[in-house]
Amino acid sequence: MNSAPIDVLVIGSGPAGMAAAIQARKSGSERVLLVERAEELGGLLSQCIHNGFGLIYFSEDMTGPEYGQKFIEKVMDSKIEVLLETMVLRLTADRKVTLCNRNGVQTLAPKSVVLTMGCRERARESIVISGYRPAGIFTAGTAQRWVNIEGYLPGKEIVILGSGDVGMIMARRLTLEGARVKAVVEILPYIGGLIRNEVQCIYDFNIPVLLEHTISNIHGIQRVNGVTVARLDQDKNPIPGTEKFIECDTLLLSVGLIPENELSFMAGVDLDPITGGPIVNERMETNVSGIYAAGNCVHVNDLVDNVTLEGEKAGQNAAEYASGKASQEMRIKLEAGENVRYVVPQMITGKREVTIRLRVKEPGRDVILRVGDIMAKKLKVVKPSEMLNLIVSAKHLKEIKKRTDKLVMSCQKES
Amino acid sequence: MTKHVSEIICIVCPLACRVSVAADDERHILEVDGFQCKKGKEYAVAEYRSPMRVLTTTVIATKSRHALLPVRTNRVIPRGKLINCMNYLAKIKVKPPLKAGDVIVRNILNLGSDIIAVGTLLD
Amino acid sequence: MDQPILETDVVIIGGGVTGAAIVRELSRYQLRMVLVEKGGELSAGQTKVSLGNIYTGLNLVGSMILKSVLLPPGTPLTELYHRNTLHTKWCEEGFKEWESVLTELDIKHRYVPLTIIAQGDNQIKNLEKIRDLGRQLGGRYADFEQIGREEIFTRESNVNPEVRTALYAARHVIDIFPPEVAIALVENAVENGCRFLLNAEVVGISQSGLHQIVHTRRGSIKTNFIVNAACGWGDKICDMAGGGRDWGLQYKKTVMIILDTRCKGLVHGMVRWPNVPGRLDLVQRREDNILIECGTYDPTDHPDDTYTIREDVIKSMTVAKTLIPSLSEKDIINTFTGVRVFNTRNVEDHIVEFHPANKRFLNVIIRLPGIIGTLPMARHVAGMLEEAGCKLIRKNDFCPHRTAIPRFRDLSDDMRNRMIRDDSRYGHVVCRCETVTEGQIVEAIRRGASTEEGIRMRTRAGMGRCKGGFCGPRVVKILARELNIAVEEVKKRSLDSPLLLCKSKELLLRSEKGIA
Repeated sequence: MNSAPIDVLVIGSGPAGMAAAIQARKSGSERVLLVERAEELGGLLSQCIHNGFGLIYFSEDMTGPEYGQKFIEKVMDSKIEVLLETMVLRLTADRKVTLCNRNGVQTLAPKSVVLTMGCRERARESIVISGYRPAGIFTAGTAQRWVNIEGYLPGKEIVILGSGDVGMIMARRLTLEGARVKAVVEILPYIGGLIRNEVQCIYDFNIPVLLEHTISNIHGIQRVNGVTVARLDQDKNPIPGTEKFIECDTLLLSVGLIPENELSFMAGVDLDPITGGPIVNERMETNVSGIYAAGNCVHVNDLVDNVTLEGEKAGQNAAEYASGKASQEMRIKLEAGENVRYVVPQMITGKREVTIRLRVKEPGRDVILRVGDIMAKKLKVVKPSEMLNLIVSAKHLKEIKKRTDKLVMSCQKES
Repeated sequence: MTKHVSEIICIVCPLACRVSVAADDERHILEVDGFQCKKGKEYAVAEYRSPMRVLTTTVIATKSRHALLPVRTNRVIPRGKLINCMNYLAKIKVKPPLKAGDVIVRNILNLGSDIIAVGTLLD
Repeated sequence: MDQPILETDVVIIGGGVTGAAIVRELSRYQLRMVLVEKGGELSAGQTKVSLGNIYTGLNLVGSMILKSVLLPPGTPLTELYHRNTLHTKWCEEGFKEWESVLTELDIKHRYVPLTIIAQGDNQIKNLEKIRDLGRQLGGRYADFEQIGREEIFTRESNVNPEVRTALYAARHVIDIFPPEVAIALVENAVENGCRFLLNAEVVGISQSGLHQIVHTRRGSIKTNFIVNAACGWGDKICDMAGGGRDWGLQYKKTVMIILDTRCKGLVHGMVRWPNVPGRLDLVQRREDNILIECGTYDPTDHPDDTYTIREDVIKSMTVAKTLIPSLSEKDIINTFTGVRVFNTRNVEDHIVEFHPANKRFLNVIIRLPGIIGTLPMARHVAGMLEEAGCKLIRKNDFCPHRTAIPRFRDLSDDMRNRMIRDDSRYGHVVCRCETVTEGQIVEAIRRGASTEEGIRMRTRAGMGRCKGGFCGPRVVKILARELNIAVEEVKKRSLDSPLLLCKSKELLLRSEKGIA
């Protein structure tokens, strides 16, 4: 390996990591190192064989592997150094990165680091459903890997808890493979994922959906042999007498994604308790100097295109940092107000145009999205499952009063 | 003559309008209602006449480090034919080398669409 | 009758910590032996779900008060201590012995401080009960101090801010991972020439001339002696050898919770409320996680009733938060239910005696705490077998040492590099949460692991917060590769717990045929 110091080290080669690495090279970094724990580049894109990728970034409807391949080729063409099957064991606040692979353990000192570790799925063990501990309970993503990459079906008769996108996509996928999806069970009164998936994964195949229901029991000691579903009251407690047994051999869970931030935590990166990811400014920079973050490890996105765009921003700024450019003062704090669950970035300069991403808490129609008192935008519909992108122009930002150090984002019913 | 009303959920944007399409016995469209934009109306009419879908799935790979090759239709096909295509593709086996875009099945079931690879298949 | 697959001097039934300790003790002698276990891995029953600390002194006093639920109300304090029971003798002797044997067997362990805290007047009364009984008993039982508020917060800074007093013992609890104890004991026995059979449920016992035949799901074993260490299933095994049993078993279940390693700083050792009869309320560090057991011992009819009830978990968390208010449901990464086994003849003690109708069948039914007294228990069992005519001739080459699978996570980078140089598979980290390498997984399989849960217990792969989200499929593929079986043959646990039900396309091809 080259003995010159590494400019930018990117942890994780999913869509955010690949975009960050490519952009860092484009922005002039000589040595960019992309570290991936799996056997191939691309993160989870290779198992997401469904379409719907690239509609924004490429204006084209692509599958996950196709979308990934475009970036894998760019990584290869732009002389980015790649380490596969390599785990980052440690990250320190002064950017010492300890890597481990079949060649050994080594500690590198890159000039800047981009965190793009993605997210993990909430597992059965952390959601506390009454029952034994049988085989046959999978997170939707793990099931997706088995079905689409390894070539095995987790089961033949399936119940899915949670109507997030991965859950719905697996409902269609398993139905197409000849399995029977007997129900998609959702705690909320509405489907959790994108409308496209609701129609094309659920309604297209007449898959029964049980809204405002939960799974109260998992049956089976060694292998799942059924679940009990129950209707929920307003406080989300099962209503006695509404229990119904559904025979099945497999339970899939699509009950939430959690940003992967063990390394961020080790390095002393401040995390947002709501997103579960690093608090970042508009340059995707964390509180730790020289450490940037992007993609699902910052907040869980619903469109890969946004992840790519965020990765590019982090890569470019990490490259600038590596070349000695000083960071700018982030004076204005963005705060989540009424019916806003979170805002990313959480800090801005207030001087340049900025893209704000946010999620609402509750669905609503005919609402006004406000950025402090400087901007208001009417929206016909908002849903927690559809992330909102809002571009706040420099012109609007000029309206910020001198002393103001925060802007509250709110989403209120139009009066 | 009776009027049949079908409800179609529009997927053009997150509004998810419930568009109702009224038609006669011969499925001639009489009226369309409940949309909020032109695109939505067009979507609902097309979806009523013949819902078309992209099929994405896998085929079995042999002599490769990969167990499967991901594939898709290069054009939309009728929704009602998805399962027929799945059954047909279950019997297909492919060998490396293959790359994205390579045709795996030409004009599958005479639907006017090819099945193409979307991933790379190595030894 | 089917041809025996093995001929032995002793068959030990049950691969929990009791059977494991016996087989290890007997491996000192020139005996042909096999341990049979019905599960797909050692430590598959009560041991796996036990709280499983090795403890003494103050904590033992606490347990005496806890178990008083099984005695008539109003029983005086000193009545709770029975110096002459096997149980008490072995607990006292066993703790001392473990202090050296844990190192001998390379079992990961750590002394953790015990703090029994009290807030309300009633609790203080209960705390004083423990204190007084400890002082009356003297010796190690009295080796603790009573500390005030200030002292409490310097030692366990996150406990309930309302606490008024506490009893504190620095070295009365050793934190271990119960399955590792059973596995380590068996591994050492294997090194000394013993065998074990998994998935070998005993379905019958018959007599054949001078021998006995143990019929298992893996075949029959001809043997001279049988040791019944089947714990919760011990009554059924005993009946296979003939009638005349004057004891039964009763089972109590209790829920346990594991929290993410991120919370590890919240507790340094074990923190508990003073025991009241029938209730256990404690929060403790279990390695880098936090383990919670707060609740009652609820009766159940089945030894395998590990059914976890959601409401119990919620109740347990509520109580845990009275001990350490900053604990949170959000950090739960696992919940499970333990089953505790007591005999009905004398809940105070173990049953270690020959079958009334069969003098070569030894029942060893151990009550909790099961692990502390196992070493003296095993010696006692060996003595009984010898008295019954089993010839015990010491091996000259018995080696008491076992080496654990390298714990990659705990090694320095220099040590790691040395290992990777020797075997590059130690450089391939498969489980991120627990930093477990392919090298460790392969070694676990070489030592007998053949299931996903086996890998989990032996290496910790998949035990972290993501519960195998990344490593799960990889572990299954390594298992298939090393065992030379198809991927869909890999089991979670026992033979009837398959992970994957068929190959891709199989259902489509089948339904096509069905139609045709």
